[in-house]
Formats: sequence, structure tokens, C-alpha cells
Amino acid sequence: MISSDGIRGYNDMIILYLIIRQESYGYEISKQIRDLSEGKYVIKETTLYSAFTRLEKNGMINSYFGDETNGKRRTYYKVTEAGKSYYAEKCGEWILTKEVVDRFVINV
Amino acid sequence: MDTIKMYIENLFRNLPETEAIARAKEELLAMMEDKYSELKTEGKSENEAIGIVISEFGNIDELREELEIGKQQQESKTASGTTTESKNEKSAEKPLKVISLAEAENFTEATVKFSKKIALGVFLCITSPVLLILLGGLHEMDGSVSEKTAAGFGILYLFVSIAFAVATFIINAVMFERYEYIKKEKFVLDEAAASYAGELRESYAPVFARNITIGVVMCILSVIPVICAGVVSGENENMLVVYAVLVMFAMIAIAVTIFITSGMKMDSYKQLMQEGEYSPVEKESTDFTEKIGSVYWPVIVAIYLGVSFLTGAWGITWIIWPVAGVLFGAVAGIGKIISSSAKERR
Repeated sequence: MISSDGIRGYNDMIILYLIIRQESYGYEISKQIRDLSEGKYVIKETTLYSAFTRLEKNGMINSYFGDETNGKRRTYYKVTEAGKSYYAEKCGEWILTKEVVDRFVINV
Repeated sequence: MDTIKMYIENLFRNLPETEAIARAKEELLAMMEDKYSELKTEGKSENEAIGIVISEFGNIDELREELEIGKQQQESKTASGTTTESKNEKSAEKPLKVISLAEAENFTEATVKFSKKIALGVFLCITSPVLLILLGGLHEMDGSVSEKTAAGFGILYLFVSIAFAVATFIINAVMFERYEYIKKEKFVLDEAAASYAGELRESYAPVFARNITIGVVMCILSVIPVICAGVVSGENENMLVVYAVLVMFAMIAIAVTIFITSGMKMDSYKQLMQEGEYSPVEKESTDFTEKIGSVYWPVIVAIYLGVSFLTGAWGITWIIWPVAGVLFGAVAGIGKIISSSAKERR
């Protein structure tokens, strides 16, 4: 299991990736994170919601209400142009970070 | 599902009611319910599903940063578009100790064990004279027991009981000392601990009331055997009264045991919730009162000794003690008023 400290800087990037791929709502995004990481990263509800709030406040995503067939009012999120470019930025940052850190890693 | 709703309600109970916070509550609840539903369709049991949902929930403090900082950022918009993880502005007060759920649970469990030991000790103390009474009664009534035997065994039992009780008090008090800070010092509970303590406190209140009632009724009824025995025996002295007295002792001892165990349990919850006399406000004024006391009483002693030796009127000067006692109440009261108005001005 990944420690939340290690991944903290990239939560936004992970969430944006999924939202760019397809507009979605809270739990579905949480589930996709778990599935795509093959269970190695289970994001906490509070972490996820904080990220949604932050991204929306900074204009990276927008939220809207969609009606599901079982009558629940769900908050859906979709990405903005600013969000897309922020995502690209973060990807570049990660690739650089990974390359630098790898130089200090010993593969036992 | 209601468990999950209750869990969220508890977490959000102490937060201000703003629109942003209400939205957060609704969304978090929705996410948890979706997760719960899916876990159920995957075949998990009710308890498993709830357990998983709650354990994967996270820490409410993460939200605090987002929602409170959000208000500040709206007032001073920054030009940069990147997200900054702003540090929470700590208030100017001293940082308070935070008590976790584990610590709170340890405290309540330790209190229950401790209260039982103390109750046992007190029970022994209360019942310590029973053998003496019994043997003494037998000696008086029909001479079946010699005076020496009665006194010997009776007093032996009395001292052994008390010694055992005192040993119990000392050993357990030492073991319980690490939790004294909860009674004496100010602290803050984390969310899980707060909802745990709150629920225990509320669910125990009716049980507590019932137990205390039982104890009080027992005390009141404990004299009935003695009265009945007295009536029945009339002029004849016989063992009935002695047995009745023993029953009275037993009932009182049991009632006190109930008072102690229930009282300490309730007290532990009150201490965690920092209610009444354990509230931070009261703790502050208790500190203040102790400080005043540490000056006041030595001064009174000095005055008492000085005047008494000089005038030799020991027969009169003892009056200073009740007077000083009552006066201290006034001094402490004034101290509280001053310190609370000083706080308000700050």
C-alpha cells in the first residue's frame, strides 16, 4: 500500500487523468483509482473530497448535478481547459521527478 | 447505513454550519453510501461493509484546511494558478494535547478496572467490623463464644480487611496515575475519540441514573431489617438484631460499591467530554484557586501561631480556622471573577 505522504503531491494529477478520460462522480473516481492501481492505492474519502474542492476552487474542474436512474442526486465533475494544461504540467513534473529520484535508487 | 450517517453526523457536529461545510457533508455521505452499496453487492456482510467504509474514510482535518483556508483565500486572491497546500494558521494559544481514540478507549477501560478494585477495597473497609459484631453478639447473647475469641478474631479480621483494602487502594492508584492528566490538564479529543466519548456518555446516562437509584434505595431499605428485628424481638435480646445489623452492613456495602463503579465510569466520560467541573474553564480557575491557596493558608497558619503564642489565648484563637475557611471561599470566588473578566478583556 502506498503511503499517503508519498503520493500527496500527485493526487490532483491522478484525479484529473480520470476526469479528462471521462466525466464522473465521487465514488466512481475513488473506485477507478483503486482498480487502476490494482488495489495498491486506496484513496481516502476526505483526501478525495479535499482534492475536488481545491481543484474546483482553482478552476481546474467544474461540478454539476446529474440525476441517476435510482433517483440520487450526484455531483459530477468535468475538466476545464485550465485543468487540462495543469494536468500536462504535472505529468511533466512527475517525469522529471521520477528521473531525478531514480538516480538515487538502488534496486535490491 | 444509519451507522454511517451517525458517523458523519458526529464528525461534523462541532463544525460551523456553513454552505461549504454542508455541501462537504452531503458529498462525503454520498460517497460513503455508494461505497457501502457496492461492497454489499460484492457480497460483504453489513458489518464488514460498514467497517471498511469507515476505516477508509480518512481524517476530517484534511477538510478543515480546505474549507477554512478557502474563506481566507477569497479575501486575498493570489495571482498564481497553481495549487498551494497552505499551512493551517495555528492560534496564539498554547498547543493542546490531542487525545486519540486508542488513548480514550484505554482510559475508559482502565477506569472500569480501577473502579472495580477501588469498590472492592471500600467494600472490605465497610464490612471489616462484621466479624467482630457477629462474634461479639454471639458472646453477649448465649455465651457460645468467649470474650477473648470474639475480640481476637473479630479485630484480626478487621485489621486484615483494612490492610488489604489500603494495599489495593495504593497499588491501583499508582497504576492509574498515568491517566491523572485527563482530570487535571486541558486537552482536545480527535474526531474519532470525540464521537466515541460522546456516544458512551449519552448511552450510559440512563444506566447511571438507574444504578444510583438502586444504590440509594438499598441504603434507605437497609435499616428495615434492623427495625423489624427490634420490633419482633421486643424486650428479648437475641441474635436477630445482630443478624439484621449484618444485613444492613452488607446492603450498604453493596450500594456503595454500585455508587463507586457507576460514579467513576460516568466521571471518566465526563472527564473525556470536559464537562462541568472538568471543563477547561473550571480547570483554569482550579489552577488559580490552588495558587491563591498556596499563599493564603501558610499566612493563616503564621497568624494563628503568632497570635496564639503571643497572647497564650489558645482557647480563643482556634476561631481563626472556621473564619479562614469561609473567607477562603470568598477569596477564591473573587479570584474567579477577576480572572474571568481579565480573560474577556483579552
